[in-house]
Formats: sequence, structure tokens, C-alpha cells
Amino acid sequence: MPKRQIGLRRQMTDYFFTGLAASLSVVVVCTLVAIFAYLILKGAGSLNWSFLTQTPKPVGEVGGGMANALLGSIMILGIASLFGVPIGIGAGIYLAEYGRNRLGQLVRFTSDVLNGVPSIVIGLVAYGLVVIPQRHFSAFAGGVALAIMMVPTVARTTEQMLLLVPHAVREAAFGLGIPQWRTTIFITLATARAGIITGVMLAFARFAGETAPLMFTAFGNQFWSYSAREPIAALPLQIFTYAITPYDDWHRQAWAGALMLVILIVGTTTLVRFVFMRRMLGGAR
Amino acid sequence: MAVLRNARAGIMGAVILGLGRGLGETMAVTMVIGNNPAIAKSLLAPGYTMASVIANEFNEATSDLHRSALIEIGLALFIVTIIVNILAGLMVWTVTRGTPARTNA
Amino acid sequence: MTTAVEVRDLKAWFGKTEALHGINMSVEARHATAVIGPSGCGKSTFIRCLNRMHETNPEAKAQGKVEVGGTDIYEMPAVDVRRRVGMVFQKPNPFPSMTIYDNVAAGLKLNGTRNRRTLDEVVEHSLQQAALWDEVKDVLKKKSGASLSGGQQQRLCIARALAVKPEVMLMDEPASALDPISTAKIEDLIFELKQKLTIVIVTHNMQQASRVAEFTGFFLMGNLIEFDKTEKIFTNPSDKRTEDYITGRFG
Repeated sequence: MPKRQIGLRRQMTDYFFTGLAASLSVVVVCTLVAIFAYLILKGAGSLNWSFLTQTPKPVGEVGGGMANALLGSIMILGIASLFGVPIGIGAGIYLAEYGRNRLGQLVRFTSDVLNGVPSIVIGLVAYGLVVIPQRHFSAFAGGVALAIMMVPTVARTTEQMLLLVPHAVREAAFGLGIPQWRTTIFITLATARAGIITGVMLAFARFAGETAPLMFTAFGNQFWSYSAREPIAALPLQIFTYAITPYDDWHRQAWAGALMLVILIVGTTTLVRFVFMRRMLGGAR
Repeated sequence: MAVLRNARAGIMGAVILGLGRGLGETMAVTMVIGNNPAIAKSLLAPGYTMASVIANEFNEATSDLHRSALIEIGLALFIVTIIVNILAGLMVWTVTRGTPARTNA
Repeated sequence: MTTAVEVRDLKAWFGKTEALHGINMSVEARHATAVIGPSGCGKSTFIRCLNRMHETNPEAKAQGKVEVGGTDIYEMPAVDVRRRVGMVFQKPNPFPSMTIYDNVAAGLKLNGTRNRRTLDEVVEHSLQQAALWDEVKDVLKKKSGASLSGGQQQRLCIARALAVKPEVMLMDEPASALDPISTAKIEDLIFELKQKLTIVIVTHNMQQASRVAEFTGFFLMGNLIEFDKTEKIFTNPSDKRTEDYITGRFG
């Protein structure tokens, strides 16, 4: 076969597959854009000051907002990080600095499996662990559920960030006669600080949107609640509750809530990434 | 093409992992699936998923038996997901040979 | 003439491979001893055994006697050894998340010293010894260790190592990553330092060895081929292999 013809066929195949890959990527981006556009279309009108500061009104009455749900989400995330972050960072430190052995492999494996467990199942676990003994729903139970989900994520990012610290830095510390554990905490961890904080904040943003595990732990609440021992509203939970009702006004508020949630999550993620990128590039010289 | 061929196992693993996540997705599915506890003949008819059952019925379950049944569905879901994830993990592992991260020397 | 470091029958392994085959050497106190040889001959492995850094590699093992100031370093805790035998590495490695001050003070702070005044004094003294004080004294707590130039970073690392007041300073090709001016500065430093400390310096630059060191050891394939006064090694070596190396036949 003449050389030219082979070249043409190869080129066509090349174009075809490149085009295919490109258009599939475009589909993904379009989906994201479509979601955003729809949310803004349906929700922007209802996202006003009263929405952000008022609690839900009784069924049938127009108006009210999701202020209590916003507070509730923050409280639940706070409780979750109280448990999830230290355990996650601790696991990450172990995996990065001491974890090249059997136990390390076991921990990594378990962490990956735990990561893949559906969030509703974890909600059931938190139900059994916290709600049943306490005999009531609570923000604390919701926090526990999210904490269980946080640990594998935080552990993995911490491990990766610690492994990014060049070995030369640890060697310098050893050369000064600094013991291993002190090196890990005051040198290695300190060097990876920015990355680890980023990882934790990204985990926050991600779990802020979790609904299923909160359904039978935090349960939801139509009023203000400041106690960790009582049921509490959460943003995604409230959105779901409103969305499946037949009331138009609540649908409208669900859209607004959804828009707010997406703005918060995407905003936090982008901001955190932006700040981190600057610090990474700034300190790397 | 050569790249795809070599990455075949890894890509399969990634696909299965994605399936695993989809298995556990509760909220998005619950809102649109129709919550009909019957095996319908058509893909376009309302149906049900394990996660949706739990989400819908748990807070209204009055008897211990009902609750236990729902938790058992949770167990089934858990086992299915674990098997899928282990399978996917194994497939990815055959490509990367168990090196989850490198040390910076 | 006293011996600072006495090495007797030192062997070292990486996993199953024997990298050092029984080294015997006496390092003269308050003098500089150079360790030369082609790539892969074991010179870095050798000096890393002198402060027990070799064993920080999980697959590594060492055996034999290394006495610093009369005590076998394998009979005492590794961290104690490393406070008495300091090390400067080939690529400058200041702690990236710390200021210049904190870098130099790190060895003391993380080993228990808290007194502000003591730390200030030691930091200033070490930076002066490393000929870096004048250049950084105004930005001690403002600039990070990583924002200095290569030569300055290496002098910072030297200051950091000096701050813990070691008896012996090991230098693994300290100037090989630096420009000629910085190299000259470091060599001047070695001249100053060896009045108080014992220095063992690995170098692949034979001119450097003849400039700074009174004694030189030539390594080849894990063995110490010849060890003598630098002058003799470079003008009238006893072993043919030494002669081949210094005349550039290989390596």
C-alpha cells in the first residue's frame, strides 16, 4: 500500500478519536453549566435577605427562610470535624511516616473501603451508635455520621501532602539529632501545613452537601436550635424535605436553598484552591 | 490505542468504582425514581432502589420489625458495595501494582 | 595529635548488597579529612555511617566500630550521636516553613532549649561562624529559609548544623551544587571551622580536596584503597589505583 494512504487513514482515526474525547469532555462541562444555569434561573429570585435570616413558616404561609438550616449545617460540620479531623490527620501521619508495613496496607485498604460505603448506610450506623442509646435525634448524631465519612478523605489528603514533603527536609532534621516523632510533628507536618488545611476545607465543602446520613441522625427541625442534643435542621436536608412536598412556595424555597448550597460549596472550594495555589507557588522558590 | 489497551484494567476499575458510587447514591435517585416497590417491565416505569427504600421509610417505621428490615436492606447494600469496591480496587491494583503514592526521595 | 573518629572494620549493606567491605580509618581531630573516589565507590555511604544516618534507610544495615571521642557510636542512642556529629548535605535543605532564625535555632529548640537569650546568642554566633550573619542579620525573622540564594542556603545549613555545637562536621559534597564564588566561600569557611571542629568532607573535586584537607582517603568499590596526607596522595600515591584515579584515568 502506498505510504501516503496509510498516513491519511491514521490521521483520520487520530482526528476521530481526538474529536470523540473532546466532545465527551464538553458533555461533562455542559452538564455542569446546565445545572448552574437551571439553579440560577429557578432560585436566584428567591434568594434574598429574608430567606437568609428567617426560619421556616408554617405550611401554607408564604415566606420564611432557611436561616436555621444554615446554622444547623455549620454546627453539624463543626461537631464532625471535632472528631473527624484529628483522627483523619493522625491516620494520614501514620500512613505517610510509618506506614510502609502490613498494618499500613490494612489501614489504607480499610480507608478506601470505608470511602466507598454509601452515605445512607453510614447514617444507619450512626443511628445505631448514637440515636438508639440516646433515644432521640440530635445534631451530635449527625456530626458523628459525617465524622465517619470525613476520616478516610482527610486521611488520604494528609498522607498525600506529607509524602510531597521532600525527604531531604526530614534528613536535615535527623542530621540535627531530632527524634523521629518530633521531626514528624514540628518539621514534616509544619511543612505540609498549607496542603493539609486545604484538604480539610475541601472535605468540609464536600460533606456540607450530604443529605442521606443526616436523615435519621440530625432529623431536621423547623425552628432555631443551638443545642447539640436536639434534632437540628441542615441545608441539604431542608432542601429535600421541601422538594418532595406539593407546596409551590416550598418548592421555590428549595430552589433558593439549592442555589445557596451550591454557591457555598463551589465558592469555598474555588477560594481554598486559589489561596493554596498561591501559597504553594510562592513558597516553592 | 496503545495507551488505552495498557490502561484497560485500570479504566475498568475506575468504571466499576463509579458504578459503586452510583449504587449508593440516595437523594438524587429518590426524588425521581417514583418509589414503586415492584419490578416493572419497562425501564421507563417507576421503580425503587435499596437506598431509596431506606430513605423513604425509615423515619416512618413504627415497629421494630420494620426498622430491622430496613437496616437489613442497609446491610445488603453495604455488602454489595464492598464487593464492587474490592473488585474495582483489585483491577486498579493490577495496573498500579499497589503503589498508592510515591515518596519524594 | 589526637584522633577524633576511629573507624574499625566498618561494613555496610543496602539490603543484601554489601556497599562497604571493612573500612579502617583514623580521622585526625581539628583537621579536615577529604574522602575522594569515583561515583558509587561508597564515599557517601561511608560518611553517613559516621553519624548513623545510613540506618535511616529502612533497608540499610551497618556493622563495625566507630568511635567518636572514645565512645562507640553504635552503643549510644542515634539521636545523641547526631548531635555530636553534624552533617551538611549535597543539596542545601533549609526547612521551608521556617524563617532564617528558626532554621538555625531548630536543632536547639526541638531538643529542649527554650531560653530566648540563649537561642538569640547561638543563632548569631552560628551565623557568624558560617559567614552569613552580615547578609541576613536584618531579615532574620522575616525571610524564610528557602528565599535565599543557593550559596546562602548552604551556609544557612552549615549555621544550623553548627548551632548544636558538634565535635565533628560531616560534609557530603557541600559545594557541588553551587557556583564558584559560593564554593570559594564555603572552602574559606572550612579553613576557619577546622580550628575548632573536625571535618570530614566528601568531594569529587580533587583540587578542592588538596585545597582544604590535610588528609585524604581514596575509596574504590567499597574499599579504602589508600589513606594518607593529602600532599602524598596527590603527588606520590602508593597504590597504582590511586594514581590512576588522580591522573584522570577513570572516574
